[in-house]
Amino acid sequence: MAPERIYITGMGAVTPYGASVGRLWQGLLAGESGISDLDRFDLGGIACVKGGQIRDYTPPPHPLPQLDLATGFALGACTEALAQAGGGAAETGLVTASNFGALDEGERALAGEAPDTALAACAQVLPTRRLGAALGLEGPAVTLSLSCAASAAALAHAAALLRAGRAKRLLVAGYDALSRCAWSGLCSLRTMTRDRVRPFDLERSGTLFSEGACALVLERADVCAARGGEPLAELSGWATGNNGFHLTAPPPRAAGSAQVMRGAIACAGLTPDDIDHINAHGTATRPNDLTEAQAIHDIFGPRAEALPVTANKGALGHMLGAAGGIEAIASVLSLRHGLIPPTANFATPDPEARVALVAGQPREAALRHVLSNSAGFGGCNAALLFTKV
Amino acid sequence: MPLPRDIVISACGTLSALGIGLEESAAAWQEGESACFPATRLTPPEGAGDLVGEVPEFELADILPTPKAYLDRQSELLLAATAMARQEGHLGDDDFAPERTGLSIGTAWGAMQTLDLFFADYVSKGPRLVKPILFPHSYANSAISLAAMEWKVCGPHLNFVSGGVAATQALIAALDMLRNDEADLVMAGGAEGLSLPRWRARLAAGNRQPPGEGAAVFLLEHAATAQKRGVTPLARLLGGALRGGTPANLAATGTATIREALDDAGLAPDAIRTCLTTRQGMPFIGNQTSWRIRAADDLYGDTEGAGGALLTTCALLDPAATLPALIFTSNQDGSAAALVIGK
Repeated sequence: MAPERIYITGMGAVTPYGASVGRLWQGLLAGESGISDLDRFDLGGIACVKGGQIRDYTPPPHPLPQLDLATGFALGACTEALAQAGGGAAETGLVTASNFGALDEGERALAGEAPDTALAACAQVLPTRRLGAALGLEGPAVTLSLSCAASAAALAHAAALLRAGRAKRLLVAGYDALSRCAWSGLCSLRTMTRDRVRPFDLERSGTLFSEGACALVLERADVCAARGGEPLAELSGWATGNNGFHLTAPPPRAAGSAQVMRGAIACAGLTPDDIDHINAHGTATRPNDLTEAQAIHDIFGPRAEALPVTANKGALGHMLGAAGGIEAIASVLSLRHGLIPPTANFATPDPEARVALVAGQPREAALRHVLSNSAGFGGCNAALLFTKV
Repeated sequence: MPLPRDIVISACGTLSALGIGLEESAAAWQEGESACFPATRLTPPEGAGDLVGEVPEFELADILPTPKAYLDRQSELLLAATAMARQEGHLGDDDFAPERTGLSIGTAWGAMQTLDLFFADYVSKGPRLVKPILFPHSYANSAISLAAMEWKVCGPHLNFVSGGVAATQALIAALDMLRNDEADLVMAGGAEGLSLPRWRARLAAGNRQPPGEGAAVFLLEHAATAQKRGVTPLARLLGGALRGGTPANLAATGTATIREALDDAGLAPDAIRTCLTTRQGMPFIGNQTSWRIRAADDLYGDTEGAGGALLTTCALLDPAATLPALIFTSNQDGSAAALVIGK
């Protein structure tokens, strides 16, 4: 018997572009920059001053006595996703994922600027509790932390939970907020550029980090059909893994990325020849771009020369814990609209990181299967495969 | 298709206030006296009692010779537990393909000690002078990543930070990885380190139970691969369940979680001899069964995210008297997770 299909039935996004999936898609298609000068917190001598800061955002109404910035972003994305999916919230479970949880609240207590009650926000389960309470979710509640592969891994784990029959319907949220502690740490990693984010470009000089949230409702096909829900796409394959190499550097060979991309394709019962488009991790750091391009060549062979690739981080920046989920949403939108957004800021191909990058204008394409690749600090990898329904 | 029922716990590496390793922990378990004593590694926050469940002093280098420049306490505990589990399970580097070996770990606070150090450094010295080594070790997934690096484990990789149910969820995920043929071996469990911010947060929340630290990592695999290495399994991991809920409905969530876990294990309720839970889990269970119910963390302190893994260790300390056992963990928000461990 074929395993039960897993459908995506709702999507939500809060990004530097604004608070909706429609605004995300509009920004990506236009190659619009989500990057600006940061002004929410005192940079106090930090050399990196540009990032994807969300401005003029108000979370949806909620019953919580307190709401941190990061959970507020996630609440907006979740509310949009649930509204699109329809159906009741009570049977819906929640899988959340981030790098830093509600650290924007917790860091104030660490610095002695807030009472110790705020230290609870340093445990990443707090946003899950707040979201569950705000949305009235009573299904299983899972919190994952897998650096910048977090939301892709959360989607993979949610799909596995659904297929194992451990839940009927899951809301998956990836999020992160920029804060003093997170920003100073990210800056200390020396991966940020003072230029623009230029994935796979010879002139690349690093990435820039952004804040925001993504949310996707996943449900088993039988549950979706029983309630008359409308699938947006199928999450047909997934895989997670680790490079087993280094905390901050990718391995010299691209085995880890290649392994999860192959794993997602195999999980769907497909072959590399079936893949029509790749939404790449594409951070615009030299180590990432070289190894990711190499992985694409290892898997797809000569097809890699023509297989269209895009990297959303060129426009939006690197959305940390939300990145994989935002790119999942972009992948689903590409399937539904037959359009691949361009990679912003791409001008000069890098002979060492040659991929068939979509740049300049959106490209029309009849897409059936789209692969999305994610990676993160600590050597975490996750890949997702989306199929048109 | 029927679920495979041949998933075994072939080895266990464990460190808690009860002791280091199964033998030492079993002796303390038999004594049945609290292993929480006045803190030696941390100065208790003002207003807190001084009792904690600390892991007895140990040198990581005695267990794991690879040199380490810096480790958070949680990473140190997790690496030690993985090394002990691999040694006990006679696991060689070539016994399993790296991409077919998984890691699934739970923690509530991750590398909180290092995050606190990093931010204190930032606040006192400014961003230009922070120690660059601290931030990479402050991530909640630093410990699991270091374990993946140490053992070249490249397969399915999940780091649960779901509060008190984190390790239980990690063990359920590991069970599913094996059932679904995503891995041939999974190193699964949990680790929680003691840190001052964690202790202060508990105190601020009115939680007076002594905090505990510890780690337990299990080698989970099919019985056949354990047998092939000449390893006699410690127990079988039969099933599990995870549920959400509300704080107003703990007993109903507890009942539903236990029922689902037993269904998943293919066992009737009267097959269970012991229910091991935490002090926090007791209100979920009530007196709904005739099982022997024990809040095991009264002995070694509240290990939060590692709770499910250390309860599983307890089930292995006196297996003849304990198994089949139900492991039950919960969160104050009303969510719960349970495991069924069989002989």
